[in-house]
Amino acid sequence: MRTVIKYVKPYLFTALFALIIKAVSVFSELAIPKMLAIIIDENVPKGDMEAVLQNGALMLLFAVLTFLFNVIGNRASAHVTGWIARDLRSDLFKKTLSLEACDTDRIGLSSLTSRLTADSYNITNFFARIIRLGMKAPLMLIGGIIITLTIDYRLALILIAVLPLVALTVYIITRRSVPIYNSQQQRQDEIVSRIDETASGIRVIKALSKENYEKRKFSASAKALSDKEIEAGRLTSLTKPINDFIFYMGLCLVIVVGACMAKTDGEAASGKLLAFMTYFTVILNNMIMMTRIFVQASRAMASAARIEEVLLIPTEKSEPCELAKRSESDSYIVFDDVTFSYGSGKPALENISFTLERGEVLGIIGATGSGKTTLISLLLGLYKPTSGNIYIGGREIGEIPREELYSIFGVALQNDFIFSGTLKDNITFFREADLSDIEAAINTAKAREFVLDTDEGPLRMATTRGTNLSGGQKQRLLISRALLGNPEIVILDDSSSALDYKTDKALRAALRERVGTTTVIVSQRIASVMGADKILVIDGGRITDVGTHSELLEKSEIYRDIASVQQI
Amino acid sequence: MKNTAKTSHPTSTANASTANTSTTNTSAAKARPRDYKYVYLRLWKYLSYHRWTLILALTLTVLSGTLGINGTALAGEAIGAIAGESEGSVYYYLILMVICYTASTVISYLLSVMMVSISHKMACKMRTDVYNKLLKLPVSFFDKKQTGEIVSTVTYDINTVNESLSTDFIQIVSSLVTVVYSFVLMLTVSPVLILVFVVTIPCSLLFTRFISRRVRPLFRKRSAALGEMNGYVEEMIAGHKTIRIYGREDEVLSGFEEKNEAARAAYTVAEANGTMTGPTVNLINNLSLALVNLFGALLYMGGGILTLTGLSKFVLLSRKFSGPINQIANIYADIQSSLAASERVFHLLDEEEEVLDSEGAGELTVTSGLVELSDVSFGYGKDKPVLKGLSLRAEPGSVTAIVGPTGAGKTTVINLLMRFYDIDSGSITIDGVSIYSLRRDSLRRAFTMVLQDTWLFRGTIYENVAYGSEGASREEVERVCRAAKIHNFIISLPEGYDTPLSEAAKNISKGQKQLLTIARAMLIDSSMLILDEATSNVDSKTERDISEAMISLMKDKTVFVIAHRLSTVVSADKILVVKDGDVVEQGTHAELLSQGGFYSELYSAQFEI
Repeated sequence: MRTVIKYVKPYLFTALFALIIKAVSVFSELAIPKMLAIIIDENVPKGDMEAVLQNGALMLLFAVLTFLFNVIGNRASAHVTGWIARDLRSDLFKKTLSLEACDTDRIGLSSLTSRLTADSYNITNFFARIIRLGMKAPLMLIGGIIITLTIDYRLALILIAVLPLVALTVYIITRRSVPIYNSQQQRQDEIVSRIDETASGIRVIKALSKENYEKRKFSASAKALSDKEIEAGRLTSLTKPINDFIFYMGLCLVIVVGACMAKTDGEAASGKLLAFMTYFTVILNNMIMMTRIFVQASRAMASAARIEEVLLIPTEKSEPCELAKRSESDSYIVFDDVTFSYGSGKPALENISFTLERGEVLGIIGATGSGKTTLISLLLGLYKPTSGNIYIGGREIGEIPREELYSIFGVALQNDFIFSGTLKDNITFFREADLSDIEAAINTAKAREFVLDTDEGPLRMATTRGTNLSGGQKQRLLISRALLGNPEIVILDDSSSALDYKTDKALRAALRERVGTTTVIVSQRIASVMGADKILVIDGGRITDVGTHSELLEKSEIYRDIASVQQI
Repeated sequence: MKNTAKTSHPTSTANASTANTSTTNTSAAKARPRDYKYVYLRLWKYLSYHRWTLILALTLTVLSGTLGINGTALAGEAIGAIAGESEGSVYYYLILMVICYTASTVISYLLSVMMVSISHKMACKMRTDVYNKLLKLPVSFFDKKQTGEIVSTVTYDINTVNESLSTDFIQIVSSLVTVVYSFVLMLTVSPVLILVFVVTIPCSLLFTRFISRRVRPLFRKRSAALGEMNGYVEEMIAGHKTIRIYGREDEVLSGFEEKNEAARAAYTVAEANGTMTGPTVNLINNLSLALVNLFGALLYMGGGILTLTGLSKFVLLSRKFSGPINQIANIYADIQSSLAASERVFHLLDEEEEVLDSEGAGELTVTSGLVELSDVSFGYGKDKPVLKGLSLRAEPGSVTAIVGPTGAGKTTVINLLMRFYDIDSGSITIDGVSIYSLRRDSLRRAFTMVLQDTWLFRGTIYENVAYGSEGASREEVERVCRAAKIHNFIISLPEGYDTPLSEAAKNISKGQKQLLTIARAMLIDSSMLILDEATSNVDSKTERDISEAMISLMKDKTVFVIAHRLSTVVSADKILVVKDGDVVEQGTHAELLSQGGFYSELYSAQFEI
């Protein structure tokens, strides 16, 4: 919570102003029933018309003041809360973007997203409530008790005796309902995933005539959900009747005591009783409010902890190393005995060594899960090798400043990111680019047919994750993105798998025309890599063979195998 | 109860807005229903299952309300008795008070339990009805509609109806009872003092109406802005790696800052105005308290028109009276949005179902498995024909491959064979019988499909493999998994065949998923088989390993194969080359190669560097 609370600091003045003005409103609000008691018990019996009018006017004044103070306080609180939420989200988003791949793997992208959305929302609500009520509710409670004590301590004692009962009821019921709500939420999630499943598998369900089976499964889930809902509902329905009951019995007690007082003191004091009943309501409401704040606080704490976990991840500074490691080889890209494992498990890559000259084409082929994509991630500096070194242009990649490193690459990953925006935006990807350059990239990527030669042209909108594009269109869009800006190294990770062979061939021909660009192509298709200057065959995290297409056909059993399945 | 519902609300709205940005916008846009009568009638159908409980609930509401107010009136009498005005003894009134209050609270508890159970049972029925409806809808519905929309109807919309039913319903009735009954009682105390409300009630109604009119669009804007920001976050975080690789953090961040600031501004405006409601209600309560008190005192002094008992009673009753009046605006808005939500539910329930099987539709008994399409035309939209007069004949037990560029209509052929979509003209027959004279389920059972989009559900691996053949034994499942070369992987998992797929999903690759669906298909005994890019994600080595199993899967069946990889189609008995909705070439691999047409171009492309 501490790190999150720091975000109040820049707005401390406004926050304090809001708190104080809300505190002031308490006094004017509490004065109103007091005036009522004075009018009925003192002014009326004396028949003092003037005093009645005067005090009546005061009551009206206090009512208006209370309103004004509260409105002003709430407005200030709305501003402060808005600012705090904005700053917090902004820092969190910035931090999230700068996280290393190993951190995002550990926390998970969906969890990071929900920290930015749901958790920050919880915190915002909590701050809003604290500023609005954090000072007011306790003050109302204490102030109310003090005033009732000055009116009549015997009556006040009833009130004080009743308060813990109310707090206890609210506390126990809320506490107990939390686990029920949680499992209710789980069952609700189950309903959601059942519908998701059905929608995505409707063809299979219909093909196998499993409608009745699915209906049974769903109605079991729906029943389970409604059972929990009813359980939660029964429990929480208790709160109001119990509180009402305690409150009403308190009122009865007040009258009992009032009656006794009338007998012993000989004074009736109906005004006192009336005022007292009003205070009773006000104080109980604030008591309930405070209990709620405590309950909400526990949720906000959990959210704050999740946010702080991200904010406090140390950012690695790439310090300029004085003794920069230089490669001994003159080659452009060098992998020198690189081994890497995710976490502590079995290495995903072992003893990888190879070199690549500037302008050459490297093909990487191997079965799914053999480590091809991991190799690419290491080359991109997304992960650090567990041992061994990777050099680009003679420099160890850990020592190349990130901006410089990334300006070298143009990358199209497997199932890469497409966002809702125009096709053009997806290609330029927030970079400045000339129209002619964009067009050139589109032409090379063979994307002209659906990006340029349509009615809408490059301003056609892509939906989130490119759901309105075919697999082949998405891949060509990603390749256009990779090629834009003439990067020194182009990396295509399985990014032509959805293209038919003819388009794939044309793409390869166009790529070959880009002299001087170093290209890395990862594929499962022999055809995609067969023209490469060097092909790595990877199996189980190791390089089993290196060579050109014809060399590998001769010496590599795995390569021959793949080729023969693909009829080459 | 209303309050507890409200406190749990913020997270659910947050989730709803993160889950689906567009939903928040659409539901905000449709805040009120279009056709009230339709909605009321449909709602009543659901409620009428519980009509007796409802009538009982109504009676109890009236009872609990009047008892509560009687208690309050008695408190006034008791205060009067203390002051020596009333005749009865204080303790007499006290006992009556205790009885009234106790009865009132007990009844009100019973009442809410009743309503909770009615509303949740109704919600349960609605959810199952919607789901059962979904299964009756044609496939085209799912192709057009976003899943998020359906999900939001089943969860968010039904929850809204549910919540409103369990609280608003009682609240309306009890508010009415309270307002009317306390008004009557106040009238008996002092008709003159009632005049105070002639000032405060219109004030209060106008003011709350004014505020909620002003605030509702602000809150709508607030959730739209928040939804937009959340949508941006969700999208961009998904592209985290790519953004890093291209070094575009600053640009993405500045996009976020813009949306973040918009969300802040909308939040502040909505919150600043929305939080006026509380103080306003408070102000009006205090004003009427002050006025009642002031005029009451004047009346009392002005010649005993009003007794002290009367004044006490009036002050206490006026609090009861003004409470519900202030809530009317809130309840009204709640009910509007819940009616709009139920309208969306009913619209979904009224979607057009898959056309019923024609009368006298028969069982399909496959004798040989001859499939013929003649002159079939079809388009997904009116003006976009996908197939134009396509004809093909698949001999019993033969393998027919369909190849062609993406978007040529290959998958469409399968949609038509399975009757996921119905043709516009032409005919499709199996063993000479039109598929439109057959029962859909029997037609579909005659086919086994292995699709490119592997579909596995949350259940154990065993359940997933045995999905198409209920009651398949463990041995049978293991046998097909061995044949599909996935057995070793399965037994390496902690719980083997009983591993739930939701947990295993992390370390299961696309290729392995595809192998599981192939194993599923192997368990199903049917006379026709459809392979739509069935091995596209399996690497070549595994593909070769399972080739034997695939051959036995295809044995004695009429097989349709759709593939990119031409290696899978070379051995087909007949290859159809589809381009722009027409069959442009057909024949065996060797014949097509020698023709030197489109197919040979496609084929040779993969060997050229």
